[in-house]
Amino acid sequence: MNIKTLHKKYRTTDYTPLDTVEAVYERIQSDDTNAWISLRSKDAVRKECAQLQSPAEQPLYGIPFAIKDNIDTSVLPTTAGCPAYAYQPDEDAAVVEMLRAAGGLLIGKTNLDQFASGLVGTRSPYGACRNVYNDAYISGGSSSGSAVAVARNHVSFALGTDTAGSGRVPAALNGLVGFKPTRGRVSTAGVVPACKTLDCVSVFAQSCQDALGIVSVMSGDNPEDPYSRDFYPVESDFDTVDLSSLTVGIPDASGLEFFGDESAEALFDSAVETIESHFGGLNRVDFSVFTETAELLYGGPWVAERLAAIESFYEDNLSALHPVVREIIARGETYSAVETFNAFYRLESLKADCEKLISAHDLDLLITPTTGTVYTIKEIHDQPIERNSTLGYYTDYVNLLDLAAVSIPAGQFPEGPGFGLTLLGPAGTDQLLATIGDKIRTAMTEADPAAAD
Amino acid sequence: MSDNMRIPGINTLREQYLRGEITPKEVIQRVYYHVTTDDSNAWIAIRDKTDVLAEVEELDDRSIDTTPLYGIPFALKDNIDDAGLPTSAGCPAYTYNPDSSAPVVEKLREAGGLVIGKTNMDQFATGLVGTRSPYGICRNVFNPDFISGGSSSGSALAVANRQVSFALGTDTAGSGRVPAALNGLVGLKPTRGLLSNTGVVPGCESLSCVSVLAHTVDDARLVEQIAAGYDATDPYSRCTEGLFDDTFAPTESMTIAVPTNEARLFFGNREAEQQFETVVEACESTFGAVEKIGFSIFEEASDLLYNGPWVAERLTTVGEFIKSNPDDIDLTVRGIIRDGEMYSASDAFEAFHRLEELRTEADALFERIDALVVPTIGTIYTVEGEQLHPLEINSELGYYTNFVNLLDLCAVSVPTGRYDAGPTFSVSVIGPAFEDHQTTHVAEKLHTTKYHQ
Repeated sequence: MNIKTLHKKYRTTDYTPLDTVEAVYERIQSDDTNAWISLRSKDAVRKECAQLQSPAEQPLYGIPFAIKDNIDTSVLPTTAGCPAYAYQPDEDAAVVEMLRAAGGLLIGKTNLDQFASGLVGTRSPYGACRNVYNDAYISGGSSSGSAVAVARNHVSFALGTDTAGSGRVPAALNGLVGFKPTRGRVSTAGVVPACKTLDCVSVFAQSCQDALGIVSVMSGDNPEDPYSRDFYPVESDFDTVDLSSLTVGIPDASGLEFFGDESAEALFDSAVETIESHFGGLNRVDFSVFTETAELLYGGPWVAERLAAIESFYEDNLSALHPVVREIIARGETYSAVETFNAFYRLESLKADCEKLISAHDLDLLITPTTGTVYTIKEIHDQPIERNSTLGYYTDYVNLLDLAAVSIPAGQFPEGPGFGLTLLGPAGTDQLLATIGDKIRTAMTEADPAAAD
Repeated sequence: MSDNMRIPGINTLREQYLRGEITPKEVIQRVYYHVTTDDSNAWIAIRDKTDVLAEVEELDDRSIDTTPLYGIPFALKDNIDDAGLPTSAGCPAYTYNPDSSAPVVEKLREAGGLVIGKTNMDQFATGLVGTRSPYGICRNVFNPDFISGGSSSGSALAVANRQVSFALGTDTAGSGRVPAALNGLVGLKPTRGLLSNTGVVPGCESLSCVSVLAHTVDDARLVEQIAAGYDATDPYSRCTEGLFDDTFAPTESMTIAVPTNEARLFFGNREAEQQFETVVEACESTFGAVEKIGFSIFEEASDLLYNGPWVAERLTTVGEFIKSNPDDIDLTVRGIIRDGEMYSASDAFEAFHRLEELRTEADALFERIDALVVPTIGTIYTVEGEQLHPLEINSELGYYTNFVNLLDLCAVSVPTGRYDAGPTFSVSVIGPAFEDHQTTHVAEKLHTTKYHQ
């Protein structure tokens, strides 16, 4: 169900978007997952098919997609994973409007860790989402339902959100591409904020090329959204990017963390071998600027930004919140404005250190694991907060440092869940990262054909 | 000593050097005569004359043609470090001896400038009045019943009394513009980040700017140009490349905005109201179009600064010191800074989010206009009046200045008239970030130089 295949089918056979809609609803109804919070009626989507133009005019002509339930559409309520918080938006979020105008068929809204607070996929009153390869394992979150819906082929792509890794972690664990564009490239107008200064809309897809195409449809400065930005993307093209001319950085031995998971370490080592043989240079770099930044996010005042986002609701509805989410957000109450300013100063100097690191090693991009290990649902229930933070070791710092990221599949843990690699670059390098992402996947498939799927 | 023995501005003094009418050594003799007989409370610390004369000797090896500040004496507000003098920030108990000079000072020295000493200020740069200092009250240069304005009070007096050619101040909420406005000077507040803040005791680290007080717009611009430049040691530093090219629209095609009559606040001062009307008429005959705009964006941003979490930012610098030395702090200053403790991290994030929206609105306005012209201050105050109502008067003084740094704008204040009581009436020309050159160009058209002391 990737976009290219479906479009080819529309153009070359008598298969139509109406057939796609039938197939989509059949798959969703015959599949028992907690991926969805709300679905549109099949009739409503069928009617929308009549309005479609043609694949030539609409880049997403007849492509079914889902959105995480913290993103507004006028046709379904928004819950943010909390029934008591639910409201009916008057209009589509800016991104949803653009995708629908480009021919995309919105199918429904997906499950998430409540208020996008979590990287696990278990913190939802709509049920825990399970890993697509092994249902004893977590799906990852917070965009859990979006990952599962794409991995189970319910839809061609889905939107998530990503503040600290919520778009990358579930993509990695379910064998998908998870693309987190540069902050501000895609408007967050109409998205329930987690940390407004950091939030991004992200994309789950089967390939980087698909993800990049979707991001292109959604990009652009939105004058209504104060956090949307104009910037000059670094252009690159699949055919002309030559990996052997690029230098990649990976964490040095003291920066790599697998939390005792030897299979993850082996998966990363084998990916590094492929990288080493295809890229021009590979530098092992000091990772402390990234870990220090990550500590600021969860061990600092940014949790108060989550509180600020829902403060009046939070105060009046404590019992409506998932207990773990409530515990996390409550930590926000302990920070003062003074600590906030101090954390911002610290962040400014970490940003400068990050830039220095990149230029000192002449890096075009960084590559890390997406997660250093994986957990069963039971393991997460036993230690919900500690293990959540372990999952964010390679993802938490990315938005604070204003980087773009894409997670690509790079094999599977022995128990099934997917292992992901994250490609990171400075703001604006979205297109370069996506191009390199697909090339690395091709290279890894050549190195180990058995790992192709 | 007669008036013609006083120290002129940069350009004038340079011409005198070039014509051979006077030597730097003679100038320094005069400077020290004025400074040591000063009775305006302008100075906190003065360098040893022999040290300055030794620097004058070094000038012999340099050509005046390639030394833009050759033999130009200048002063520093006492929150800016100079290796040869202690820094007090207006608080004797806080005083320390810096190991090195602030990079901006280094650049000015490198260009041939001669540091004479450090000037009085509202303690910790907290105030727009010039009275909040244990080193004595600074009084208006034209009428001692009136305030000098602050917090860069001593810098304004040292230049207005022609003891030095120019001075550096700092400007968070108007501290560089207000004292310039009342004492017949040009006060240039550059775009945030163009002049390094390393070695400066900040008011609010994320907002403070080093500012220039000078006799002419040309002089101020020259100092800015020399002192500006990216500094890796200041995480808030910004790139200055290409900023000082003459690439702005011709005056007659510029659009200038002024506040609507309802948005102009003069706090009952009819004289100021008429003075500003005269400036509006001058704008109408000088520029292409004059647009009258509401002031709500600016009022709201100002309100955030003094009645919001930015007060807490002042605590980040001196909070610990104030806690351990409460009796060494000016009572008004202590009250203001301590208010910062009541703000939470959540308050801070809410204010950041609101500010981002206001910035977006301001950006849209500056897409349409080339500059905004406002009174720098709506009225004038006596020292006696200020002592009775310190907080109210301080906030009235900031009505037209407080919002500028929060909204990431640059500004220059220029005198355009005189009150009957003596102090000058000035207007501020405000432009978008990085448009310092165009903004000073507009200000030059409105500047009336005949009101020099």
